[in-house]
Amino acid sequence: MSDAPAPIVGENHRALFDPAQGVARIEGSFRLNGLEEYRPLMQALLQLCEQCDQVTLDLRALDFLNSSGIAMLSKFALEMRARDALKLSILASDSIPWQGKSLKNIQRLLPTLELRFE
Amino acid sequence: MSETLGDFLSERDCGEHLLLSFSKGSLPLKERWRNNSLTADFLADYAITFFPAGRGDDTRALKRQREIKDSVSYIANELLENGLKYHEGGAAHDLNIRFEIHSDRLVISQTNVTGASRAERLRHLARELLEEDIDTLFLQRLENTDETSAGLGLITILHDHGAALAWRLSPLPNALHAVTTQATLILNPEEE
Repeated sequence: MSDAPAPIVGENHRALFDPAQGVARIEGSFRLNGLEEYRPLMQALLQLCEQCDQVTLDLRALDFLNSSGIAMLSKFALEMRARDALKLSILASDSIPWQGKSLKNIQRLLPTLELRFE
Repeated sequence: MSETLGDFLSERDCGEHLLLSFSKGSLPLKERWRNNSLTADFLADYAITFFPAGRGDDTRALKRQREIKDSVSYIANELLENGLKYHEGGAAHDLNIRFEIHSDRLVISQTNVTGASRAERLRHLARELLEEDIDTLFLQRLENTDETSAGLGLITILHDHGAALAWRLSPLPNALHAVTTQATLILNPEEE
């Protein structure tokens, strides 16, 4: 198996990738400036998808995502819609209000998305 | 003469409020970016003082507090990101954010200075957001994220956070405009 995508770590955020489990854990507050700054995260997620048949985004500790981050997630969902062989799940948290609102929109773009709240 | 778009609330009679003013100064935008989150989180924490959760077992009040904090932080952060991105006023003009706390609503107003072409683009965007169906616009924007995400931030404020938006443009010398974007979040006391 090829190498795992390198972790992305900032002052208040991090993203860790585990190709063996097909999991990307995205945590903290992501408030990068524009899609350009989200490109490394998008690339890492696409790299993970090359390595797995099934990918889970674990967002249970993602307290905050700005609109550029929401745009990146939408773009990623559209990419997954184009590759219908890959199964995408999102693990979300009941206790983080924005997730209940904004992640359901992502599901509208990708109806096969499995969205689980805990 | 100022022009307003949407249901813009004047600053008069606003009661409890907080006003923060920032000089753009010499630091490049990239280095100032983290201050958006510091300010947004500060306003969100400040707000919940006025909506106490009471005893620890009051889950409904705690949930309401979490929702207020989440929406204030998101809205303030998006307005500040836009304000910094589009501020063209240079050192002579500050950016500011004003936060009004009422028992039934929260009002966040962010002001920055822009040139004529940005002001015109903003008028166009504001009319679109005020007149078109937000759900349809929102899905269109999500499907076309290659375009700027600035519009998406405002649409998310309307669509996901249920706030209302309004704008005021006031002319300044040298073809500049002071632009205020105002988000009003109606608080529902019956919220479960």
